[in-house]
Amino acid sequence: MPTYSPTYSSGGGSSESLLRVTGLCKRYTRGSLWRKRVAVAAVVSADFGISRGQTLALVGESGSGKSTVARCVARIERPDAGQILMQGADIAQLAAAALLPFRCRIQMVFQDAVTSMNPRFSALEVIEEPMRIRRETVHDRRDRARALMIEVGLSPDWMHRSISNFSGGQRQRIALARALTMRPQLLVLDEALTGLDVSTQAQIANLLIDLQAAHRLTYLLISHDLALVARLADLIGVMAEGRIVEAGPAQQIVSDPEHPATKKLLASAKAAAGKLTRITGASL
Amino acid sequence: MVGPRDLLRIRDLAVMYSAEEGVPIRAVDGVSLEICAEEIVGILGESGCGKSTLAGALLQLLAPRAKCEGEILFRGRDLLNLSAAELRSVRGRDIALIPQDPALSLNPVMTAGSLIGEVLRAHLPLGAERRRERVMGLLREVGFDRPEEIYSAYTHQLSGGQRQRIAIAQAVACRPALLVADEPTSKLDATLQSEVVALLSQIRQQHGTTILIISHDPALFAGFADRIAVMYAGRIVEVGKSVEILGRPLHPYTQALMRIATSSVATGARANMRLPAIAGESPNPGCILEGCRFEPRCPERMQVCSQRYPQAFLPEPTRPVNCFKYGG
Repeated sequence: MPTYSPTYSSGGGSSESLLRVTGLCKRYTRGSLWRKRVAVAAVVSADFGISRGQTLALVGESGSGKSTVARCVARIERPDAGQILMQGADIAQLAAAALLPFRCRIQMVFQDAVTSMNPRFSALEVIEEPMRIRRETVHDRRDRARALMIEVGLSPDWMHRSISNFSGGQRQRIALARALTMRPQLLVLDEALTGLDVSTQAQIANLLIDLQAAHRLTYLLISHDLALVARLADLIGVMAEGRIVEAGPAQQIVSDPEHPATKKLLASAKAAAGKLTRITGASL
Repeated sequence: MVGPRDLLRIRDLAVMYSAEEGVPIRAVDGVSLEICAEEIVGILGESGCGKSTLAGALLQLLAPRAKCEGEILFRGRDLLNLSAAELRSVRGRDIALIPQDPALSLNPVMTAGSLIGEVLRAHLPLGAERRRERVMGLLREVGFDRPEEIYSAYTHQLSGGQRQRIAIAQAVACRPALLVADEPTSKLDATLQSEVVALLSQIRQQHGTTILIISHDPALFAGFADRIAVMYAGRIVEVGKSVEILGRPLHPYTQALMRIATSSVATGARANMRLPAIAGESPNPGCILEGCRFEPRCPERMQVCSQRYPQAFLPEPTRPVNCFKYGG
C-alpha cells in the first residue's frame, strides 16, 4: 500500500511550516486477565505537515486511527515511533516538564465538550483554569476570560453560571475560549463539530473560521464527515487502517478521489446529500 | 372519534418539569399530531426543542417530576390515564423505543441474546427453546449474518453500529405497532446512518410498523419519512409531507434550517466559506416568550410576532404553518 509524503505548500500567503509529522506509529495493547495481551496498531505510519494558518483535516471511518494521530500530536499519548516536529523541535518523546511550553502552543478541543469540563465549575472557572495553573493573577485571568467569552459569542454576564446550564453549542464555545487562553498556535479539534445540531454546527464552523483569521490559528481537524470538512479544510488526509492513504488539497480530494477509502467516504456523503438534493433541487 | 387509520392521536399535549424554584418549565407545549397506521413521521428540531420529551411522553417514560396534560390516544385509549401495570403491557409490546445511545441503554452484564430474550420473556409466553429461535431470527432480521456469534457477545465487544442493531432487535422483538426512534443515528457515522435508515424502512415494509423518528438532521428524513413535523421551543411550527417540508419549507425556521442543510451537503464548496447559520440561540425554556418563539432570530419578524403566538394558518390546504406571514 503506498503511503503519501505530502510536500505541497499552502494555497496562498505563508508557507511557514508549523507542524511536521513523520513516521508516526502508535500501538495499543489489548487483552484481559485471562487472555494474552496483543498489540494492535492504531496508527501504522502517518506523515503530514501543516503550514501556519492552514487547516488540515484527517477524515476516516471509526477505527481508522485519526483520533490516535490527534492525541499523539497533542501529546496526550506518547507515540511508539516517529517524529512530531513543532516549529522544528521534536516533541514526540519529550517528558512532561520539557513538554510544558508546547502544551500552551498546542491545545485540544474534544467532541463532547462537557466530559472535558468539571461539572461543578462555572463557565469562568472552566475558562480560567489553564491560566490558574500557570499562576496568572486573578485580575489578568478575569480580563482575559471576559474578552474571550465575548469573542466566542457568549455574554460575559453568564460567567458565573454552572456549566450544566449551557447548551451543547455554548459548551463548545466555552471549550474554544478555554483553549484560546493559552494563546495557542495549533488547535487540535477532535470531532469538535460532531453530535451538534445542524444549525449549531454551522454556527461553530463559522466561529472557527473567524477565530482562525483573527489569531492566525492552525487547525488539525479530525472528523468522519467529509461534506463538512470540505467546507473548512485547505488540505485533507484520508485515513484507513492506521495509514494516510490519500492526501491533497480539499478541492482535489472531493472532486477527484483516488483511493477506495476516499471514494467510499465521498459516496456516503453524496448519498445523504443526493436524497436531499433530489427533493430540494439544490445543485451540488 | 378516532378515524380508522389513526393509530396515534396526540391532542394539546403539554409536558411540564417542575423547577426547584419559580414556574415549571414547559418542555412540550400544546402539541397536536395524528399518526396513521404504517406511516413514518419525522420530528425535526434542535436540542432542547422538546422532541425527546415528546418521545418520553409517548412511552410514559419521563422523570417523576414531569407532568403531562392533554391526550395521547393510542388505538383510542388515552395513555395518560393508564395504570402502571397497563402501561407495562403496552411498553415494549405495542409501543417500543429505539434509544439514542444504545451504549447507555443496554445492560453491560447481559449478553446480546439475553437482552433481546428479556423483552420476549416479559410479554410473550414462549419456552426457552422457542425464545432462543426467535432471538436468532431477530438477530438475522437486523442484519447479523452469523447470529450465533452475536448471541453470546457482551455489548462492550460490539461496535456502535452493532449495538444500535441490538437495540433495534429489542424494540421490534414483540412486533410493536408503533416504534419511537429517538435520534437513532446521531452517534453513528454516515455509512452506518444509511444502514440504520434502510433497516427501519425494511421493518416498516415487512411488518407494517408505524415509526415516529426524531432527529435534528433534515437529510435523515429525505426519502424515508412520509411526513415531517418541525418543532421549535416546545411547539410544532409546521407539519406537512416530507417532500413539501424539505423541498418547499414555509416557516422561516424551517427555511433557515434547510438553507444550512443544503449548503453543508454541497461537497466541493470552497474552503473557509461561512455557512448560512441562524444567529442566536433557541429560547431558554424557563422564560418562554409570549409571542412567536422564533421571533428573536427570525429575519422576517413583524410587530405582531412579539405580541402573541401565531395560530396555525393554512397557506395551502394541507399545510398548517404557525407563522403570521401566512395570515393574521
